[in-house]
Amino acid sequence: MKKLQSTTCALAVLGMAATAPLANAAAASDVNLYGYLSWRVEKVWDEPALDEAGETVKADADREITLPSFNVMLQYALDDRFKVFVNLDGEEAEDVSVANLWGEYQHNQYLNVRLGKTYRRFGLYNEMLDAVPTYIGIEAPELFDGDHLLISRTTLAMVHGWVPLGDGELRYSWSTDNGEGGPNDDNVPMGFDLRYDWGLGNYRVGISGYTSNGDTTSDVDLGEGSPNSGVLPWMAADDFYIIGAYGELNRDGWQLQAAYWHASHDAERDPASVVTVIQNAGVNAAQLDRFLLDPDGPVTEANVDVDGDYDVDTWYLRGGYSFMTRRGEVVPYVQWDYYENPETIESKTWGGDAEAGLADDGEFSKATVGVVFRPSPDIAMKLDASMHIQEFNGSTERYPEIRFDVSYIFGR
Amino acid sequence: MNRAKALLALVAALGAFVASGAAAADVAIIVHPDNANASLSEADFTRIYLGRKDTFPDGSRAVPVNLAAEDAVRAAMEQDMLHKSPSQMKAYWTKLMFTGEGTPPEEVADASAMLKRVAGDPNAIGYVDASAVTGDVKVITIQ
Repeated sequence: MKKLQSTTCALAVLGMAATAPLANAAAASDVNLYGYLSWRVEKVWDEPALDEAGETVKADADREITLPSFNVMLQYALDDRFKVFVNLDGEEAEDVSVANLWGEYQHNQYLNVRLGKTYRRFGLYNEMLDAVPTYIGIEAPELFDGDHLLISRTTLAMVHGWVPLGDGELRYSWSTDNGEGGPNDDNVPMGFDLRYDWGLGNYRVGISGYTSNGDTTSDVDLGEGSPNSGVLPWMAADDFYIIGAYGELNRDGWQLQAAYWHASHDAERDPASVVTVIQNAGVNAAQLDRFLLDPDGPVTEANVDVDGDYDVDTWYLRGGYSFMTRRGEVVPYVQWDYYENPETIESKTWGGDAEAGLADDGEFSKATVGVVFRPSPDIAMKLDASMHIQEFNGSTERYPEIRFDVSYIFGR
Repeated sequence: MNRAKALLALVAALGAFVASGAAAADVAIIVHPDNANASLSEADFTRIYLGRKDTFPDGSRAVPVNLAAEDAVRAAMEQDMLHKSPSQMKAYWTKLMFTGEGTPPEEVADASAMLKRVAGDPNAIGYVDASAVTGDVKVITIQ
């Protein structure tokens, strides 16, 4: 109830901020209030599971209809140097959270200082995942998929800018915050992004990275779901870094993207948490082998292997082709995603990942084919179908998923 | 497997809307008569209209002005100069707006409003069909 009250207040403030200046025609162009909503139906077939005899059985998941996005945003330029940005996220039209709330001082093109809750600049997608209607695909690349994030999406302070270089622009950003779940020893986490755009933004290559700069912990307690960051909830401490590279080409209607990310975790498991996970979450043999010193021994704290070092690797390829028809814009696309995390488990409730955690070895691939249809620039309809591929119970299993998404951009 | 084939067929069917059309127009790029710049590189013009640059080559502030979204001259300018369709332009600005990075240029209703807007602001840059140009504005060349 408190959340709803605060949400109502936030919406009221947004409304006042948006409408008050509009009474003054001269200031109207400094305020922009806009957003989008999306509606989705999805269905998964033949998802594998184990029966009581340890044999693979397949079952269809229930068809889901959701309102995955309802974002209202406000951008207000106080003058040429200062602006504020608010992004309220009303997922499922039930709870509203503040996805972004920041102010920025623009000193010049080389130096801009942004303070507040902002999406970190990290690869091609993190900053634009609230712009589903505008990009190919419905789901985020795996590193930013909700139940297996490599890193938290937001940060609290960011410095960024750009310099002309050759025919293009070299853009940088540096960010810091409190760490994932909380810092130890006053460590200062750091994130960075360095990208080179040329051809007026039609070509882009870049690298992004992040270091916790010391031990940190998960941002969720055990049993409260998957983390909103890269640290698993059964870790007592995790000192980790992520590094990756990406590239994008836009030319003659073609859009091609590629990215690779590697996360390295120097982690220590919490024995009591691991025992709780094993007793409640239903881990597979490979996971049990990682968690226990003697997998055939008793599930006790003394038998937990506290050395939880692990690496995560993920990459994707995405390609689409845009063309106009008399009915609107059509963009067929294909995608291939790969993700590997040997440490995670299947149960989302206990902090796991239903895809990598389902696999025997923590690896899965996802092939997707889809099409975007925009009858007008404000409306996007997307239909895409994916095939999940992973090792399960000793053999290669595949199961399909289909999603249909309609989204609408409103305001200005 | 049949299900996968059916899904692929459905996706292919949705993608089977084929036909296209593109407008062509003689577009004049206009600035205030006091604007000291006689020309702009195509790159600078594009940067200004994509919000990546806010100054003219002489360092003075550049304020781009757009015609209404449905205006054929705007569509022609965006296609010929910015090499983007209306949908691609919408997607471009939506990304910037959704990340707080910027907002699209101010819009005016029609050519006469554009001429009035540019004639009244030394920093403004706009465009109209070449046949609509008057002596109240200066035409600059794009190189």
